[in-house]
Amino acid sequence: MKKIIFKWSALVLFPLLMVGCSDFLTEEPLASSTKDDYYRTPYQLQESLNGVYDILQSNLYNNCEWIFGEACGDDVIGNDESTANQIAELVNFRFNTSNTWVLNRYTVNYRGINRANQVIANVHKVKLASTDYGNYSTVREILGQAKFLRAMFYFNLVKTYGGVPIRPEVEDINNLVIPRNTKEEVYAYIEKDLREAAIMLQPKYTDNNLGKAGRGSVLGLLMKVMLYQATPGVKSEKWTEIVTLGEYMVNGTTLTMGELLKFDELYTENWEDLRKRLWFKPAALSAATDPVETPQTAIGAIANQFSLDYTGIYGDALNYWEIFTQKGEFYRGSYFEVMFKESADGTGGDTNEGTGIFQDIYVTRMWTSPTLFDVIKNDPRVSQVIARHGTGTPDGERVESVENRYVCLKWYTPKRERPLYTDDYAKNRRVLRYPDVLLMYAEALNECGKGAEALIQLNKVKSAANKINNTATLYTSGGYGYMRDQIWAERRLELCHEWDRFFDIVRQGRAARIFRAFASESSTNHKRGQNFVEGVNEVFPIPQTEIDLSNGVVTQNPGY
Amino acid sequence: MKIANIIKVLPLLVLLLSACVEDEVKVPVASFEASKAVCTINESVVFHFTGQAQQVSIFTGDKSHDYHLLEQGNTGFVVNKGTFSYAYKQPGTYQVVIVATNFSEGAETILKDTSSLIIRVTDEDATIKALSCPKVLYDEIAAENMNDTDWLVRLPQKIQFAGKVATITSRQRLSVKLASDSTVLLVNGLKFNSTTFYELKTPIALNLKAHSGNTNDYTLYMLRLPEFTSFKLAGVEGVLTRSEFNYNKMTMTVTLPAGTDKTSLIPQFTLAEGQEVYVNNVLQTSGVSVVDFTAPVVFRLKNTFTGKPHLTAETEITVSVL
Repeated sequence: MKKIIFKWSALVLFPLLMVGCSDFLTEEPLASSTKDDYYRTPYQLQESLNGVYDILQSNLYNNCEWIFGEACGDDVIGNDESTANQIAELVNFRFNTSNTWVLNRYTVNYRGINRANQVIANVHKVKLASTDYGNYSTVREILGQAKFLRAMFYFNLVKTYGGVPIRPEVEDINNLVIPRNTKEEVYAYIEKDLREAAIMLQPKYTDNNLGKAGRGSVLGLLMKVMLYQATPGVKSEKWTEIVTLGEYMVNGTTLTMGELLKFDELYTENWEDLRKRLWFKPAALSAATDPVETPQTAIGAIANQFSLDYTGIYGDALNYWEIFTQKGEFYRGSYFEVMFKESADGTGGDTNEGTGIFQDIYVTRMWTSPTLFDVIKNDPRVSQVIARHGTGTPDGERVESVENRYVCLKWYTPKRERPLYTDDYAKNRRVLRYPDVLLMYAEALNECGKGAEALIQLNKVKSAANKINNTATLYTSGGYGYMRDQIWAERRLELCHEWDRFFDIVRQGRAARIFRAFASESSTNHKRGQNFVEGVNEVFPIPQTEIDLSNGVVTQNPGY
Repeated sequence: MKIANIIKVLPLLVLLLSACVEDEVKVPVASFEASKAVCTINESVVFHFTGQAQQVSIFTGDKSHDYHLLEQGNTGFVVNKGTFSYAYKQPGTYQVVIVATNFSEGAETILKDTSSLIIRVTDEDATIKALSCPKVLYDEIAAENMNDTDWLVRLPQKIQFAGKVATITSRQRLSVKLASDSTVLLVNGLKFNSTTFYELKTPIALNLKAHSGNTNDYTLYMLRLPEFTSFKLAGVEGVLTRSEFNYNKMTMTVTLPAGTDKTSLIPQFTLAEGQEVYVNNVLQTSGVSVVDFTAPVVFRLKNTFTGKPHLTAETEITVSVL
């Protein structure tokens, strides 16, 4: 009996013990940084910039990229058309405003913006060890990259949701809910960041700095940002500006800092203030040997830094398919890549993110759609980017997928690059390539009534691809509409499966027409695209939680 | 002793278990309101649930969400936190049904209540967003919207393509992009057909009727890009070269005997009716106007639709004398 009483009383006392544990240590940490004293040296600023790049490498960011850019488009079919998971509902346009991925994409890009804002808002706290020109350059280049990344995150948002709130660089805890800005305002904000970043950065980063965004990355993105603001068939200043940028990037025409910034037109601040804000060494401190940039200073050439050649970073010749493998990382045509690194010691189980994504979508998740196969089957690239189940990859491995399906080799990891451990796959994602720049340039030329010049740029891309099997078929001359259709056809062939198709057809204004045809393609009965509603699904809804939390300050897109 | 223990613990266990038995399921109340009773397509309607229930779902009444077709596989949406936002994609009248459900543990007892209201979705947008001739030889040539009612397509007379020059007929297919799928389009009184060839020499009447009944009437006019029917300098015929890229830009060369004075030549040209020629914005008259040909001269040809001065088509022909 006593034993029982003892047991029972122990049972009663035990919870009391547990309660005692909820007391926390109240001592102040002695060695920690706060946001007020952190950004004192360029090294600390660099660390916080690394934090922005870190978002690009995350699984969440990259999953959002392929789900929206690729899976929503008409270049792929999947195995989830009739199922009811969040991705399936999204890519078949059966989703509602509470869809997880609609929220994920919104959140992850704002997370990136927040981190970039911290770099940009705190850069003035940096103290330099000396007034060497190089010290200013270090800080300036960090700031420039932060601006580029912020612009890229906003661009992701604006092309997905339309106008979104522009967050203040320093968040006010009492004023976190802000209404949406218009699409035009967001684009203007993005453009300003990119134009400034372009004059702040080196043309291209190499060696230990590989992977950093240089001027090539920035201006390539700026071309795309302007392309998304222009409407095909409608005359606009954006088209002529894309031509100007194309001339600089492709032909090597000179461009001055003032022209690129549109300094006279857009700025009220004086030049010296602008230089100070962007961490050019102040003229007053300049030594005789230091360059002092003016609006008339030409920005250095980059046309010779990139090319259409399939040449690797060490000058080695690559096959077309290899430019999408580890061997082809930072090849001569690559403007910007998201870096994924294998763990240093080759052991498995590390937390290095983003690396398994290509492996995930290859073979099991998405296959080439019949409509894409129909147009690519007569092109030399078909052998390099697409393989049928049961045939072989270019490096001689049997493709084990699903009967009658074509896999996308741009996502394939070659045998010799296979990691030791399954969770340690690593190859960079090509975000922007030279052919994309050439085709944007060609499209803008055609829109400006320069069809003959457009054809030259277009055929550059095609003849590079022709070398795969020495064919000689080129695009031919024709009127505006004919040229435009040829350029769009080449865009699809050259840039397929690079996670950009959905946004590309939306900005071309023909998404609805394409999805109607896609839904009824004959050989598979997937009906993908049949639920696409014109005038609604070109943009996705603002996540429902954002609407709810803002108490109606953030408004929903029409049709949701 | 052990049995005694078990006996003592048993009543406690019974008490513990009995706590899990639900009390009686309450009868749910289904009632709700909509933010609007009449709306246009793709306009958000917000439904607020005002009743009492553990779970609420809503059938919006349109395709595959019709409550009366529940047995045929139609589905509803879950109403979260009492509000639901929806936009109808097709015009029509829809019965919206809300289902309120209460249930007991393990769903042994399920009680349901439903309530409904009517939403009318209208679509009154009877406008044309884009109009074009989709296959002029091989090219799509867009028509331009000139004012509230008039569209104009400018067709070239001839197109140079793949080394050959083809004459362009005035009978062309049309491609029309309407603002709304539910709008009915009549072309010259007959239902529009994307594979019919329409004769564009006479203006085409486009009558649009929206689902809600309102109508819009447009006219499509066609003008040819003007060209010289003949062009001579000092009795020598000019040789015309067409651009494969721009139908409204051409070049012409006239080869005159060596030593001819190029500073004041008088072109002899003929044009189709209603067309005019300008050099530097000065109207030219055949056999009268004097032109200096020491450098290539740009002739601007202008074709105006009879009685419609706002409908014009222009061509630039650059003439060089060799």
